[in-house]
Amino acid sequence: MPPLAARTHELVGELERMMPGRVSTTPPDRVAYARDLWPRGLIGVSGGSPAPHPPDAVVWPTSTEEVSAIVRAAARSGTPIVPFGAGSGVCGGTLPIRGGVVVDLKRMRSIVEVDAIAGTATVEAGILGEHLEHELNRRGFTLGHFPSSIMCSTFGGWLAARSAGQFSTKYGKIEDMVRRLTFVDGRGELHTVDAGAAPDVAQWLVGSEGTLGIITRATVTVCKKPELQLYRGWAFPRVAAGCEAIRRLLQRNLRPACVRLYDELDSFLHRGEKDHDRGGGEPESSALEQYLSLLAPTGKSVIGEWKKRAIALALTRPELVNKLASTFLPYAQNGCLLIVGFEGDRGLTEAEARAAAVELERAGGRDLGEGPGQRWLQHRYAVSFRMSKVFDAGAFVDTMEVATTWDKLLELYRAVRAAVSPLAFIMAHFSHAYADGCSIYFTFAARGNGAADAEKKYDDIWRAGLAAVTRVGATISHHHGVGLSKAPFMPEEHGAAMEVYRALKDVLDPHGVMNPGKMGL
Amino acid sequence: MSGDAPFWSDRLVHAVGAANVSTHAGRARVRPGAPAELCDVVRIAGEVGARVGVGAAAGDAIDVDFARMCNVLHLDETSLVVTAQAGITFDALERALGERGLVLGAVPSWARGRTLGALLAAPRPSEASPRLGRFVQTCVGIQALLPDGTEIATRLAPRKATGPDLMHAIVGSRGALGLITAATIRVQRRQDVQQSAAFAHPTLPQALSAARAILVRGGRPVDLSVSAAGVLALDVDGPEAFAAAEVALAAEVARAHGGEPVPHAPPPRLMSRPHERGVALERVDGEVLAPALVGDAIRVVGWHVAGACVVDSARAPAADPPAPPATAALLAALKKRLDPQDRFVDWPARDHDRVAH
Repeated sequence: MPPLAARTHELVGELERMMPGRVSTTPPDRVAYARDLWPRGLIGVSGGSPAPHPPDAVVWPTSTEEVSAIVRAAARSGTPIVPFGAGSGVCGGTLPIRGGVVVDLKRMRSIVEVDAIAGTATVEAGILGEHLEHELNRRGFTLGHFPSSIMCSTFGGWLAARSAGQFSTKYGKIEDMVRRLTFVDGRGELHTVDAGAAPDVAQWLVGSEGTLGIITRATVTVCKKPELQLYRGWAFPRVAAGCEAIRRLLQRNLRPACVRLYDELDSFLHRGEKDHDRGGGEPESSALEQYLSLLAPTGKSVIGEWKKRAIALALTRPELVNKLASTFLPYAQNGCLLIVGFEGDRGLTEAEARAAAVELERAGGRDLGEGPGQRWLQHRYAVSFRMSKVFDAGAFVDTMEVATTWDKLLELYRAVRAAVSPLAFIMAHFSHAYADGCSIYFTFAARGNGAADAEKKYDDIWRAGLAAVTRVGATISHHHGVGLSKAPFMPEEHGAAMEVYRALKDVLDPHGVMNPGKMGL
Repeated sequence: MSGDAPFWSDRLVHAVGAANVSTHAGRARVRPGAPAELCDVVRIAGEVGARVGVGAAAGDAIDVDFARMCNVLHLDETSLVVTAQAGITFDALERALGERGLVLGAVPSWARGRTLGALLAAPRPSEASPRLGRFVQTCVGIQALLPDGTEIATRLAPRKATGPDLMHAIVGSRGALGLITAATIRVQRRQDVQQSAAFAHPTLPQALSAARAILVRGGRPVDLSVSAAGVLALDVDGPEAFAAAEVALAAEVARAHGGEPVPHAPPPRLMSRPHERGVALERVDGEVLAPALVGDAIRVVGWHVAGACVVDSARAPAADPPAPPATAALLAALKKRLDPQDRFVDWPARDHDRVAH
């Protein structure tokens, strides 16, 4: 554990006087805050390097004013500040790569106000997502934001990284929900800005991942808790047909809460033995869940032995298996699974689901009934909590969520698959669909000979994948953010417009203390 | 070109062509035909120490007229987005889209004769469609010129998580931080079923409560308005079953608030009143409505309940709302950073009409 720098000693003393008992420099805390859920960091952990970049100190403010005081003190001493929610980020965005002070916002977790007339909630940044949703439900509302990390991510983290929930097609991404934002900039100055102003300063901060300031509270739109949820499965012969069906649905102005189209390989693995059981039965595992349970030493897999062997082969011969899958799977089984869900007012939801069924059948879909939809709904958070076992088993798994307009969607799908296939076992689903385009969520897995080899393979996969994304003209992230992992691709993502981001940085963080080294700045 | 032309006007002629430069009383007006020409104008301005502005705001600066940059650059009918140059008017854009069975949808009727660039440079709190939101929310990308002559284009994707939405540093900056040269806008396919309905309520507050209740229940009509006489009107479209369900929801809610169906009521038609008078806007929180704001035709609009505002179409156009002091200081600092020589002139909204012609 590196010793504290002299500047930090002085700052820590000042913070301790300011917030007695809420500042820590102990090794356990410094190790605990040295990483997030970036898979590359987890490879390091399995290789015996749990905390390559520990912070010098961790502080737990309880108010916006305290956050302001912390940032002022840090700016005076030139000490880096890293805002921290719950550490569920998967891009290394909260790694204190230049040391400094981690500002953990979890003690700022109040729901300040729920305005039932205006349909808004004003909430502090540090509240855990699940707690927020639970409390809104108790009052008859929903935020409509359900990222798979909901149990281990915070409201502020969602805002900082432009998060998307699984129902973004109906409720929007988090940036669509913001009505008002309070933040502390890199000079310690406090701002409250209304969304929709000209210019819309709130949209500068949302997604800035702590590089421009710390979001301490926000007012967001909330909706009436749905009376009815109707989720069904549909089968499409090919990815292209499924994508076309989704596009038609959305361009007919229907608003499903959720659409998820699994590609042939993902659908193949997604289907459990209860595939054709329309009445429910055993919960269906997701592809990734099955994959993870296979790798876990104590895991229980519900898939057949031959599927296990195929996946094991995929780890050592990814190119061959990917090619076999894309060649034969379209003919070997039932094509691609599409989950479509509607929710809300009973009458509207039933009408929308009926209208959607007509559209989906017209587009060549086959109705699989409510079973697959309900199973997905019940088990949609199950995957995220099993990842560490994969790393324990010497392999790694990660996801790449990219997006583009409909005209380039299949080109993007093919380009990323082609780029990553030689290096990793890869599958995908299409979700977060909009009238003008859609996101693709690639899942890839591979194994290295030791941590160093795994890290190299991991980097190679990301480089190849994101290079393909930028060649197509798509965006490198739909909702996971940039952090450290995608930072090298920011110049290509934004081109000359990066200068505008640098200008915002210079204005809001003139001392350069806010989460330095991230986002390609 | 008149005799009192600035000594550097020859250079402008070289950049954009003689037919596209006019001078009067020592001022120059240019009509660039492409971003590269505008870039040359900005570079020349920098070299001779002149400022660049739009319309009357230009003052002694070089006055840029976007009238020649009025083309549709790309229509992507698969993704339903159109990229057009800043100088195109909404009427012209709507005509081009109409030939392909498409509509803009979210443009307030008062803005129809104005230009795309003008509305994005200085958007006002404006009418919005409950379904589509405000016009700015349908803009998914811009191309712009920064004061140092750098051309930027934001990446086109349905949604991104790659840092701040950089478009919003230029959109709404009234030209002071960058000149928008083109923008990409979401468009709508004209639906086969379009229905209108109206319900008369005994009082205005009952009609407003009904409008709010429709939004709370999840209704998202293309347009929703309430008249001072308490008539709630809405437009819906989409698949027949769904359009019918939206009307049924509105009818149920209206009944619960004392409303009765109005046969053959004129539809609200946000999209189909091309030359309606300008409007004044006031925000209304929840159900509180200040009587002074009530005019002849009030439109209760908003992307969501929280964004509802009331439009009084009998009043004169609203002035630009001043930026709050904290935001104004940020904007001033950003201006200093991006435009240290103060080359781009702030462009007040009142020049919109001037730009459109």
